[in-house]
Amino acid sequence: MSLALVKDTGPKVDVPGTAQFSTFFVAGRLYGIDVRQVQEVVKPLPMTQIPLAQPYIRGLINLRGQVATAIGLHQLFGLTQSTSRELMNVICRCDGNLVSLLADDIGDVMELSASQYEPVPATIDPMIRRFMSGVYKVSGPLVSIIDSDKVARFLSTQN
Amino acid sequence: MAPSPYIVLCVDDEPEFLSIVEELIKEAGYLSMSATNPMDALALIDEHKDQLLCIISDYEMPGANGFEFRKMTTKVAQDIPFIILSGYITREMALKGLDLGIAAFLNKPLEAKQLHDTIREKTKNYAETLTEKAALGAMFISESQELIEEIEPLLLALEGDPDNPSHLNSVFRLVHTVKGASGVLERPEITAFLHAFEDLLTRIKNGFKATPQAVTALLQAFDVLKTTIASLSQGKKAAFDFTAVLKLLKSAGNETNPASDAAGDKAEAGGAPNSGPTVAKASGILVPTLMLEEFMQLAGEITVIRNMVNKQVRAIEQRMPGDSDVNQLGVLLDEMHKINGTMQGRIVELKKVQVSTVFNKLPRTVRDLSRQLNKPVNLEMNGGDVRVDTTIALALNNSLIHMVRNCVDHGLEISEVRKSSGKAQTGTIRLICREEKDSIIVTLSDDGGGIDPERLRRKLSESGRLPAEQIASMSRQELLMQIFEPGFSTAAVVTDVSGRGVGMDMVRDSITKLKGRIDIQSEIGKGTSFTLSLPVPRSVVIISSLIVESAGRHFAVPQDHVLRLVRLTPEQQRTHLSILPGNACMLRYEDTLLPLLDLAAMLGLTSGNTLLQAASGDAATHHEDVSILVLQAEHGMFGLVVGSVHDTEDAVLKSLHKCVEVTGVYRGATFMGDGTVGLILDIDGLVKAGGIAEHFAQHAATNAAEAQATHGPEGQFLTFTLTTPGTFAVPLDAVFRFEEFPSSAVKYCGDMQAIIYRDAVMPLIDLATVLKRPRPTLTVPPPLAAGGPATIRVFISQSEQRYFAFAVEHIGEIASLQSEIDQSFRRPEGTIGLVLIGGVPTTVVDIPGLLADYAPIVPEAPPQAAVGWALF
Repeated sequence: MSLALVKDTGPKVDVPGTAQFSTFFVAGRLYGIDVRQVQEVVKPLPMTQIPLAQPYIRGLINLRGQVATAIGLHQLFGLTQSTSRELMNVICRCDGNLVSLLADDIGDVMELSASQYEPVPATIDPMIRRFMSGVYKVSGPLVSIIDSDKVARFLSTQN
Repeated sequence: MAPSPYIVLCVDDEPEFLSIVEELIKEAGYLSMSATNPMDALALIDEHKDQLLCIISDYEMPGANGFEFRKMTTKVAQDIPFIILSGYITREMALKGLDLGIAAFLNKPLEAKQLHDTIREKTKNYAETLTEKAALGAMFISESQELIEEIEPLLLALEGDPDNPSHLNSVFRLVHTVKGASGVLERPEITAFLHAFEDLLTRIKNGFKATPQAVTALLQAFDVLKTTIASLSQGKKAAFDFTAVLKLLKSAGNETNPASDAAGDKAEAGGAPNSGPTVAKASGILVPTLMLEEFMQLAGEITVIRNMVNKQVRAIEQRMPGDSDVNQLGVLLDEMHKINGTMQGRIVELKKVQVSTVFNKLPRTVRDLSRQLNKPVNLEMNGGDVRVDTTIALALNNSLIHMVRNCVDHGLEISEVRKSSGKAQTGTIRLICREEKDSIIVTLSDDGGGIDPERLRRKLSESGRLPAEQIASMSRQELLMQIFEPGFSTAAVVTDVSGRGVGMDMVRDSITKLKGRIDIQSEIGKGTSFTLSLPVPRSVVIISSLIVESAGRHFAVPQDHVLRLVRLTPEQQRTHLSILPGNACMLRYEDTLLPLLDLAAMLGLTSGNTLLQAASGDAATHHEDVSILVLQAEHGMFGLVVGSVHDTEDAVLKSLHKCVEVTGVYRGATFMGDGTVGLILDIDGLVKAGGIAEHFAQHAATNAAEAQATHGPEGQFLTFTLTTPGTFAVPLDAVFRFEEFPSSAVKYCGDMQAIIYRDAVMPLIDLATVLKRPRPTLTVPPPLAAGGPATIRVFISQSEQRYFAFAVEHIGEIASLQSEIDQSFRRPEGTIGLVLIGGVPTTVVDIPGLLADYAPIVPEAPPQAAVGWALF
């Protein structure tokens, strides 16, 4: 007799043709992550640095009794500009691990329609392109979509 | 509305109409099935009887009308509510319907509401019956699974001891119970099969001897029973074909059996069937392991929060001493702490099963294989009562069957070979499980032919999977470990048993997945032994840790590894720290030299190496105390230099993301007193990262050599050269430090040369001169050649609080011995013997011997006097 536990994934906001994105800024550019991949956005938190870890691994954060690994998007994207300000945490849960993507600033949650979507332009730096799943043209700046699964895969395959 | 697991069967000759009705049935929340004629419908009824809630049939159908169809179903499914659909219902039809037990008539065209209401109303009672039956069936399956677990070992025991009636009685009783309970399934073929099984047992009870053939038949029948129940548990409804096994049981029972009379008496004496080793099961329920795991995780999180609350309360207590509310809070918290601790323990217990559940499957495997390969095997198992976590049981289950098969197939020789090599014809496989500290240790050993490492080397070379040089330099142990590599098989012939080179790598994978280890020991002609070591999983791992600071950062060091804290003043640093060639630092600790690692330097937190400064004894640049943790790593001891040592803390282990884990020096994260995240150091990881694993390996090799040698060399040896030809060595333990002095530092004290060292006179002994002489007359050493080198190199030994310097030409490497010290040659005084180091014959100098000679001429004086004397 097999008894399976089914986890309720909750209602999905699935308006056909549109998707919602949490947006944030890294080095002046606007990025977005599918809201379903984002657990929460948190103000700057004290961070414990990890000697010998890769430079993009900025440290460990205490997120209400859970340990989150903070990933510096500047370093991950190979951007040279470093900000001295404290960074915001975009918390994602990838493969059961809590990962915080460090961003300069947080933008709005944007509802973007499929008509605005375009595949990742070849002109984008490969360091960033490898984590992207597309771009959306909106009235203001272009939103580059980051796929947290791609980030998670990268993190767990790097030695 | 949750979908009902029950099926409504609809029968109509018009497919269009059927699809509409099916749609309506699904809408009402049932599963639907349909058939266009009564014959198809009967087949469906037969197959899905256990789930069939009601039958809805059209009245007008070609071949048979609704009533005729109803008559057909009464034989197989009288109780299933039967509803008739008709465009025209007459009074006669209604009356006949009563006779035939028609539950309801429905008018065509069909109304959705009417259909739903009728189904619900007419099936209410039957739905309850079905649910009850399903529950009974599930109960039968779970109970009988437990019972048949017990049958197998008993059958095997019966074969080994056919005259013992207690095994037979126990099997009989168990089979009887299963048979009795099987009635609830309403599957006569299963009951009939069990009856035949029981029949053969009865015959044996009544005097028919339990021959191997009979037991084989019973075992095969048992396998059929097991698969039957397994497939029932998966909800398969297909009919079972027992003809073959029934025949087998029958024929086994009909064999002529000479021993029947004598055995019969004994069986009679065996007593009532309910006497036996098995007792009634305690009442219990089935809980999915997944739920337990979730429970365990939640309990772990409670503990984490409890610890954080605890810290807060302690802080409040300090701020408001004597406040009664705060005191009360502390008391309550302690109480909660206790209960939580108990709960933790219980939850961990909940997930455990006895290893015997895994072990019990093995005798059968061994028995079958032993017969197939014609190798008599005796399987000894110990520690089946050890309780292990289900995850470990599962890993063992997957691994052991494969490993045991390997043992029988490859490990044990055929009896002729065993006989000719003077071993017992019956091979022995020994399986032992024990709990050790935080691990479950399982050893599987055989007394077979062992594995020849050189054969592995050849196999490896043939496979061409590794560079030839690497293969050539592999040690015996490294070669043995190759059997865990994917695609590696040593079997000369690939049999259907094993030898395809898949398996051992999977065994290793399933063990390492649980962070366990697998080791192999093998001796040619004596046998092979595998050791599986699996850490006990915990809902929450609390590591009692020492908090240390290094370059302003805090780290937790697991207390288990901490042997001692050493704090050295600048003065002590000069006497207790040594630098070896290559800038490796050593700590003199209880008469041994321990390798030292500087945490800050290792983690890249500082640029300079404070350790070197401290060890070089340069008081001008280094005048601070040094804190050193003497740590026990897996393969040896070492010293870790830290900035400062703080208090201890119970660190709740939090696992790290894989991208952090790869650094290899952290065991996990934890929350520090201030709520920030702290890192727990991985001591064995530090050893690897610090490059001192090699040191331990050498040390271990030396120790092993020591254990074998009668005049064993002690520890490692330092090699050096003198101005005279040859290579020399001294035990590293005899060496305190290396130093270089300007020639001008050499003073003459009468006939003796000496150097003022650490405010005392240190006699300087020229080994070249001493060893050249037939007998070292240390009382009159000649002066070092005038106009010699500007600096002299020495190694310093310490004896009875005094230092002695031995002048050498060059300091060589530190090496462990490859051979025993050969004392058979005539040797100069002051030496112990000859030894091969790195293939070079090396003279081992007898430092204690030389110093014993030397001791009497050094005046027994307090250090102050010595200073005055030296300056004379």
